[in-house]
Amino acid sequence: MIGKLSNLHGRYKLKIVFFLFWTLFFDLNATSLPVVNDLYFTLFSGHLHQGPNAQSTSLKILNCGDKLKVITSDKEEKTNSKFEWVKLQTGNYIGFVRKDFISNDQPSCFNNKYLKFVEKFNLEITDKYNWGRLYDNYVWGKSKVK
Amino acid sequence: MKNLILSVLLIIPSLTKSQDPLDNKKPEIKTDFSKIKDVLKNDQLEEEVNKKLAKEKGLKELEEKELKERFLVPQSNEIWSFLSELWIIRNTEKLKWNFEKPDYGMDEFFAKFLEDQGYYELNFKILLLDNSLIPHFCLPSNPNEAIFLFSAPFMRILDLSKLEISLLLLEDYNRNKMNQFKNRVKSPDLEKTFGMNFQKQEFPQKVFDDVLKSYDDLVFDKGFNFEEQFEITMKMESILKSNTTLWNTYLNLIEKIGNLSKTNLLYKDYAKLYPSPEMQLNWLKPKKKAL
Repeated sequence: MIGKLSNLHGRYKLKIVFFLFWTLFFDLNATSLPVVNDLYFTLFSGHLHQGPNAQSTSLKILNCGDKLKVITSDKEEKTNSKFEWVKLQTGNYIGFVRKDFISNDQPSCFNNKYLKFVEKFNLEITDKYNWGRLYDNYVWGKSKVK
Repeated sequence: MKNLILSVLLIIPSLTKSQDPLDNKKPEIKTDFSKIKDVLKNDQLEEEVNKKLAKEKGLKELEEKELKERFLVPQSNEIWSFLSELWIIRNTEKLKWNFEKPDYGMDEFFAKFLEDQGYYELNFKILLLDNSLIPHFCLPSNPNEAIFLFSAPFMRILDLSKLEISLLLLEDYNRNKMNQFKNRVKSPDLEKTFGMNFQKQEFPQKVFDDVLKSYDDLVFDKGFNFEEQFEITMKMESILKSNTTLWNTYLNLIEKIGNLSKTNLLYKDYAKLYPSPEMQLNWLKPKKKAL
């Protein structure tokens, strides 16, 4: 009798685990929740743009080393820009940053390494804003390896 | 082993009790501490404690080192891009670089141009200015980097091709490689600050203010001198003369700029910044032999 009961109990356990796994798997697919990764901003200063465009409104000023959550969705964002833009989240803001301005690895940041030195130049919020705009305005390029 | 530890734990409270003055009458229990020591030794507890202390000491030293490093002035190979960009930021309104512009495709063209001339792995940034006063400059930067300023009105008025723009950028880049800009803005005092730690001494603010002031003087007023201009012109000759197309384009370009500076009041100061297109042509064109 005890053996039968424990056997029955085991079968129920297995069913419950199977059910939980199944519902979780299908739930994820049905609602297509975004896949979220952590990335880092690599430039001295920059902007989280409202749209995938350098001229788009700045939602937030970013600093080197800022952690960003990248949101990948099925829908591709339409952009006139020739650069790849990534949709990401920081705090309550969701916006866009150029792909070449972010990295999977934590960058070595000038403003962290020489924190006190940078502080001596009393950079105000407008300076940081302009620094970000400067990087948006640059024509970036690199000649290849020989 | 467990028994030993238990016995140690039982012995310790009894020892503390024996120290109570009220219990003076109770017989003294003599404990062999060397045995406890042996137990601790066998359990490697001592080693663990030492390891923990060493780790804490190491962490503290690391924190102190990191804190000290944060007061460092960057070395010469890390400081120039920061200073140049700081100068750009401080002169945003004067330089007028924050404006919407079309994509001229200079990134790909100039990268290819550099590779063709044998300049590899150079990270460049070109900043277009909506300003006629500053035609083109290459600001000091960290190794394997180049920060260019290029006037969009200057480009339009001369109807410059991508190749002509690239030639001027190459000239500016080589001027920088020859340290013409750096030598004009850096002082011996600045060199002394590279790598210094100002945690326990005053930050040399004036030295950096003077450097940024020297940028102003060079870009907005003085420009380069004849000697520097001769040096760069000869350098360009050595780079381009073997390629007829590039060489002729360069000569025509200097002539075009010379005509502009003579005929357009907006560009009358060009010859002051880069003295002078006319002289450059004289240096470059072959001398006529007297018959």
